[in-house]
Amino acid sequence: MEPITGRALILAASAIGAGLAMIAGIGPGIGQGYAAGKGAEGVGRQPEAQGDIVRTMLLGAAVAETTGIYGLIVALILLFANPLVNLL
Amino acid sequence: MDSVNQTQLKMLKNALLLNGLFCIIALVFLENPITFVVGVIFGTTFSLLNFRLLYLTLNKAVHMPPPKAQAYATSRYLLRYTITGIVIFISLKADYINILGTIAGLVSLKLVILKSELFNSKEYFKNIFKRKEER
Repeated sequence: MEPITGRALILAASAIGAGLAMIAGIGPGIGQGYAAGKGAEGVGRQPEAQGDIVRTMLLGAAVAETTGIYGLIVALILLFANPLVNLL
Repeated sequence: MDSVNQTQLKMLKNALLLNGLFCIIALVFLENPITFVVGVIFGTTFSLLNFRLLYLTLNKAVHMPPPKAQAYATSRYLLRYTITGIVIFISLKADYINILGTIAGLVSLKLVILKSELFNSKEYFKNIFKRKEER
């Protein structure tokens, strides 16, 4: 059996790290869905406030979505442009 | 024009201004600014289209029954997330696009929103150091 090289270890750890980083994408999805549900309730209760509700939800959702993008960037960099392999 | 469209227009203008600033800084300080500028343009374009898609999604979702709106918003989020992944993957693989530029373009919208909606009043900073009872 071949010994595990440093490069293989780094690649394996990076793949695990990328998987863990993708967990960050779950939160905004749940949050946006929850906000949209509550927004729909709000518009149903008070239809004249639709503009304000959509505006607030739009800004909140856009900020929340960026958090998921951070995780995605980390995961993709670890998978396809891993800077750690070059350090060996 | 209603307030939502005005907000979108304001965000678009501010995002373009901020990214123009990024491009100017890159042109002055970087050795190879063209790839960075291409990345910024790529990221900004996608970011603004994403924002528009988010608006269309939410505008449609508020007219649905709440459980359906929840499922709809989440499914559309996953669609946007996938497209974002494709954009980042392309900028990682293409030599003529700088990934840092793309990231700057993607994240600039968040900075613009925070600047124009949260950090725009002095009261916000004053309230940080005030006790709840004093407000």
